[in-house]
Amino acid sequence: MIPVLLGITLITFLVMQVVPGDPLQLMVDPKGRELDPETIRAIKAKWGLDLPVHLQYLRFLSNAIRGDLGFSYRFNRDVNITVLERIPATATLATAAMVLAMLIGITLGIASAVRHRTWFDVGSMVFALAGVSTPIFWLGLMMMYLFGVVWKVLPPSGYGTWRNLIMPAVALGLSSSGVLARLTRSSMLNVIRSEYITTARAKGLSERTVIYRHALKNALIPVITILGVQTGSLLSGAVVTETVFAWPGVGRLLMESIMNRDLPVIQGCVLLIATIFLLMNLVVDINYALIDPRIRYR
Amino acid sequence: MIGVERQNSIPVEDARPEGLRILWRQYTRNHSAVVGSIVVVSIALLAIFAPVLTPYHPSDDFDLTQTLLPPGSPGHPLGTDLNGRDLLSRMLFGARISLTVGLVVQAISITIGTTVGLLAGYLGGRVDDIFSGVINILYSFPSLLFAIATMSVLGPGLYNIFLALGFIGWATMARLVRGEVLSAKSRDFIEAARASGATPVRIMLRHLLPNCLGPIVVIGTLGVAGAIMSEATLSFLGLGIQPPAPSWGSMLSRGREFIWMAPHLTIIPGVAIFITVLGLNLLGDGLRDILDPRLKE
Repeated sequence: MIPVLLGITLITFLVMQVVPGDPLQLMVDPKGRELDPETIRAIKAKWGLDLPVHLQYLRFLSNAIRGDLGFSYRFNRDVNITVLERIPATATLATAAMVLAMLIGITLGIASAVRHRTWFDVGSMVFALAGVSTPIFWLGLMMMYLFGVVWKVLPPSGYGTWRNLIMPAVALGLSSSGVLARLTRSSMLNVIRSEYITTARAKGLSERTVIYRHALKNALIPVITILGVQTGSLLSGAVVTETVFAWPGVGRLLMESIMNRDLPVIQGCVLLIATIFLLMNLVVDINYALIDPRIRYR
Repeated sequence: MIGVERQNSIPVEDARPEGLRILWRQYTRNHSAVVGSIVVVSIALLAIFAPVLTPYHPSDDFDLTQTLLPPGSPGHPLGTDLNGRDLLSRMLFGARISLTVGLVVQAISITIGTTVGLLAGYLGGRVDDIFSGVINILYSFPSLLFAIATMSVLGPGLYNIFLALGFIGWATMARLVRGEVLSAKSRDFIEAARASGATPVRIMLRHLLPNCLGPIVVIGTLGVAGAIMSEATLSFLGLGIQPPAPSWGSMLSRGREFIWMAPHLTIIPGVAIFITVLGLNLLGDGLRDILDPRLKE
């Protein structure tokens, strides 16, 4: 966990180092007027930009650990405030999308495993594969066009009410729901074939009890493992969704900062998203041991 | 004794064609693989014969008197875009970009990933520790986010897309190959090869690599779909291929500004991305069932 986090900060830092153009010029004078060498030296010394690269990295790292991610050139204030205030919007969107993906994905997965090799099964797997193959931005635009413009049932973009949340959450969650449906189905099919399920059926338990009380618990274990990975694709997808729907989250901030070459903010956003992703995976790993006693006994 | 040896040698001679025949039979019975390959081959043919199929140049032939024509207009079956360029031509040439990105990125990923996976898995020890560390770091970075960050630094362009997507894509392949090698390494045929004096390079290339081919083909096919989707996303965000080059993603991005007047500029490129990615995913799924049922989770 710690080495991975260090690796991520190192990559983020190095990537920003090779950027062409002088961010200093942008920070001090957005209009691009020439500064006198004396002023440049003074500013470089103040921000530590005159140090060798490895010392700059250590400085960046020690500041980052203390929660100081630098100073935004564009907003003229601390990066961590700028980034943190965008978190609620992204968290709302990602949570809504995840809940939706789990609801649709797991339900569909169980239902098609139970109805293995029926038209329902084929239909829902086609739906799942279509979900995985649909570009998020296109789905978002199509919903925006149909529901927002043609039929006018939902606000085409914006932020604030639950009505604003529906389309972005569906656009973002659909592809994850496809992944979860496929995984739940195959995991469920594996479990249903195992001997303890045959035993449960032989005891005369109802099919309902067999599926929901006996099979589901084991079938969901691989599904939970993949939730961590799905968080990553949801957070990356949020960058796209937020751009399409003008949703004021971290993803949109990242895109705006890229367009304005606001490097410290780009760095902050990338670092934040990667860290959340890592933490989610850690939580999943810990829960994994809690949910599956076989791991603890090993 | 001699008779027994002869009998044994005959099936070995015939093993390859027989194996291929079994694979072919499995392939023709696998709906997903068949439908997927029909879709993929059709798109590849459209891309290859794009200059023959359409009289217009995708970005140079524009007619400002014929802008935003709807699909079905005379001479322009899919209509025209903002600059009066023929949308069909742009779609066909766009397929070239998408397929090129998919194939080149996967070629990079497979080359680096297979090499690293073979070395890490076979040599083990310090080499494995180092490679696995790098793989884990890259793997724990959401890949699209990594590509966005990299493209924001490298700047837009086709070659930078190859770099950004190939550089992160190999980690998946390396992880897979390393796992395959680890499980094959302790098996008898590797022991036998080593005992008969095969060099490590020969063992890796002649004995371990062929064992990983099934999973490589499967993950490679799905990876082409992933790379095409990533390119479209990057181009949509304005970080990928820039107009006037006919990338589906950037066409969609331009088209959305006219979604009220000319929705076909948004709908058609999206459908193209969808069909291409769906076809590749179907093919990958089918190949997985045929080549490596273990991968099925």
